[in-house]
Amino acid sequence: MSNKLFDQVGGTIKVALKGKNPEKIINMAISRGIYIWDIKKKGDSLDFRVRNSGFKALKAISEQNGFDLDITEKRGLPFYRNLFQRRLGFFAGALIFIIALYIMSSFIWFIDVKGNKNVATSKILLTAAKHGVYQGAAKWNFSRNEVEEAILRDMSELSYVRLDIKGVKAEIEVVEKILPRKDITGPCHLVATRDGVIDKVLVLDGQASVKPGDVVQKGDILISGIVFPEKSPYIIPDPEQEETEPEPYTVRARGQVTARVWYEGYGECRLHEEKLVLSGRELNKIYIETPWKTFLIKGKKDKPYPIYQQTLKKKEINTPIGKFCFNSLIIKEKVKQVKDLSEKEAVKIAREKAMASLEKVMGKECKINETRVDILSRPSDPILRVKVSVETTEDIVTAQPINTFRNSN
Amino acid sequence: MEKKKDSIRYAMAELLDIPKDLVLDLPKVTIIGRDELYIENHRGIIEYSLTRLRVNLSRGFLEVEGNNLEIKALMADEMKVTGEVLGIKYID
Repeated sequence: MSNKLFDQVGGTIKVALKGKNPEKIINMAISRGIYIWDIKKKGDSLDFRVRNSGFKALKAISEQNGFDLDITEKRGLPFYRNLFQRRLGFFAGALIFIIALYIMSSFIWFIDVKGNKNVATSKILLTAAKHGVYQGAAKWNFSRNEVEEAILRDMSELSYVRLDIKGVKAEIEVVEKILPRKDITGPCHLVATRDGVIDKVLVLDGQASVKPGDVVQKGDILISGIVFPEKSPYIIPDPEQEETEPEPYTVRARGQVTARVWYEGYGECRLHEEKLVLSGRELNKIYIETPWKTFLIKGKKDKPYPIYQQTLKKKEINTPIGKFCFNSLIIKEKVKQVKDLSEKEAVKIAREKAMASLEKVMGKECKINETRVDILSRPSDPILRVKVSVETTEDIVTAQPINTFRNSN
Repeated sequence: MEKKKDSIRYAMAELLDIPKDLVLDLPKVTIIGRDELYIENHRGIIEYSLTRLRVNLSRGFLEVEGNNLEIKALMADEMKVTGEVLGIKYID
């Protein structure tokens, strides 16, 4: 029977037939193969629907027989053409939107790296970029498997790489290789890492070459890995046997040597200080940078404060047509603040500065025994200078392999 | 002559158990409930109004009485009528 979809495509027309005995027209139309449906009497006229293609023939029949045929409704695709023409801009926009969406979604916009702990993200990104996966890369320019393999080939510190393209986002998931620790297994000495005075010596393996109270320099052997066996005093030497000097042997020296170590640090502080301090007032500026122009979205163009500090938060997106930036600028006002310090305060600040610089030099696991602060500057100087001496007790050993080849020469 | 042909056809249909609407060109009326009516093998419409529909058949015609009658679909030998059907009558 009627096919609603094809009726829509071809278009249907609802007509009102006026005249006596409209059944005659209907019978004639049917005999000529014009499909008619939804026939209903309405007052003195007969309403029915006919396909767009059959309308001409129906009109001819009705005119020949002296009937009135009025169109009351048009439905279907052909009658939308008018509407389409009227709203050409709208439809063109929709088309452009779809095309733009398709084009824009065929580039990589974001790259995420997951799973790396020791390998720098930037290094992975750089390697990926070398093989075609970078911000703004077209998706059809690389193949996932090839990039995965290439990254794996180039970066020996990775054991697995997976590249996932999720829409416009590329996700690189890596698993790092767990390399065996580089430990000295061969014979070695324990040497001093710093100058100091030996405090305590604990030998687990090897032969101690220092004793508490000795002064050592950096690089001195503390526990030797070359052991000269001693003759035991409890074994009475056999007079008949020939006295032979026992051969020295090498071991991996182990042990702990703590020493007192001195550090000297320097710090200074101005007694009369002019400082720039944030006043608390701030302004926000937001602007968008495109390859052609920069647009200011929020805030004013001029600089509002005489002295200020600005922090720029930049979000960059590299696209095939250029670089787009979303910048947010926070401008904080600064005011001058004059501060006069008493000597006590100045010493405290200078000492803190000196300690901070010392902490960088000092070993991590050290115990501070004593600190002494010496003021170097004269009271009349505008700057207070101090010298801080620190005495610590710390482990100063480090392993140094014995070069057996050199010994054998 | 025509009658003789018909009687042979009738006998054939009886013998072979073929539906008579196919062989003898008889109308087939299907009515579903009170408001849907299918007529097959009709020969056109004689009269149509909201309360009465007369359909021409190969022999005589069929009169359908009802309220709000509407011809939903119409083809060369098939039609569908909707509306409240009150009675169907064969008239020679």
